[in-house]
Amino acid sequence: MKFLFPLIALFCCLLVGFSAQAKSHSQEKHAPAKAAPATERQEGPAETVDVPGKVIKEPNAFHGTKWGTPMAAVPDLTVVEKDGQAAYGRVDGVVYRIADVFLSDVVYGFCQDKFAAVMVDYKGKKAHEAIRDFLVGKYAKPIQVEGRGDDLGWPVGNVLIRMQFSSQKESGTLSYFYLPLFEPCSGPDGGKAAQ
Amino acid sequence: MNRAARLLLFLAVCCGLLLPGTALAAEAPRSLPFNKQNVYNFFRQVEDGKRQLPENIPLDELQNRQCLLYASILKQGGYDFEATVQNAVQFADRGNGKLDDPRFMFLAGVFNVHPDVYLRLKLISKATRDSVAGYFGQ
Repeated sequence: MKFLFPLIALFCCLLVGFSAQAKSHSQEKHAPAKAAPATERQEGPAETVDVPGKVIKEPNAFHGTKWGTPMAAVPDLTVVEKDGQAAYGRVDGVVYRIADVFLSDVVYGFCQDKFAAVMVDYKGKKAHEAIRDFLVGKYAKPIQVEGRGDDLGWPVGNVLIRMQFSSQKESGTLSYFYLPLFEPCSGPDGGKAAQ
Repeated sequence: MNRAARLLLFLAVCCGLLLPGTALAAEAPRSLPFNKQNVYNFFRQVEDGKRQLPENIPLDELQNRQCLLYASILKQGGYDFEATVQNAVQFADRGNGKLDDPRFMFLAGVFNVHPDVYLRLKLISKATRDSVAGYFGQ
């Protein structure tokens, strides 16, 4: 009987201690950043992650037209193709400059009447390299789509930038997709099945 | 009821009161369930949050705040940043289907900032940092 009290006290202490430890563990991870002193910066091991030393924001517009803009709100747009829920249009006289390349063949893509994509054609390996280098500098190293060096992708938040170049045709396409809006039209036949 | 029996009853009541609290506190952190819609919504909220950040602050500070933003938006939804990153790294596409994989899109968006920054901010552990570095460095 005389051992019962210390045993009970020990048991209760253990329970309370365990509870407190579990709580502090879950809080520790969410401790505010200011708690970490600047000198605590840890150097990483041998692996590297190719990221630019700057803050990246996803493009929220193309050439002044915001994602989601209805077709009717884009001045001088001429619809050139409709494909299920997708529609594509051109604006005469639009010239898009990227790096040192001036591009005039700009196609605006709409999904469910919302501006969701842009495709711009360019010609020549030199233009391809200039645009690619510009995007690498601005965003990061791209990923190679399906392992092909001439099919590149930059996922930037909800925007996917792609470059597809054909060495045989000596021409390529630079595309921007705002994925949340373009997704319904990305299936076969411009998302007809979803209608 | 003798004294020993009363004490045993007291002990049982203590267990009944403390154990549920202990279980709650030790509950495993939840990952964002990965599908495209969840990732789109996440990045939408991140972009909204980024627009609220002041731009006239040093780059390091801005970067720190953006990293914290990623974590706090997940936390607001009841999800744990580290658990989400671990889930993404563990099951992300390692082949050619990356651009169609919500886990990859999540990692690519979040780790535009180097994982060392997240480690320094204590948003991820060293092991998770190494997993992320390994994934992108492969």
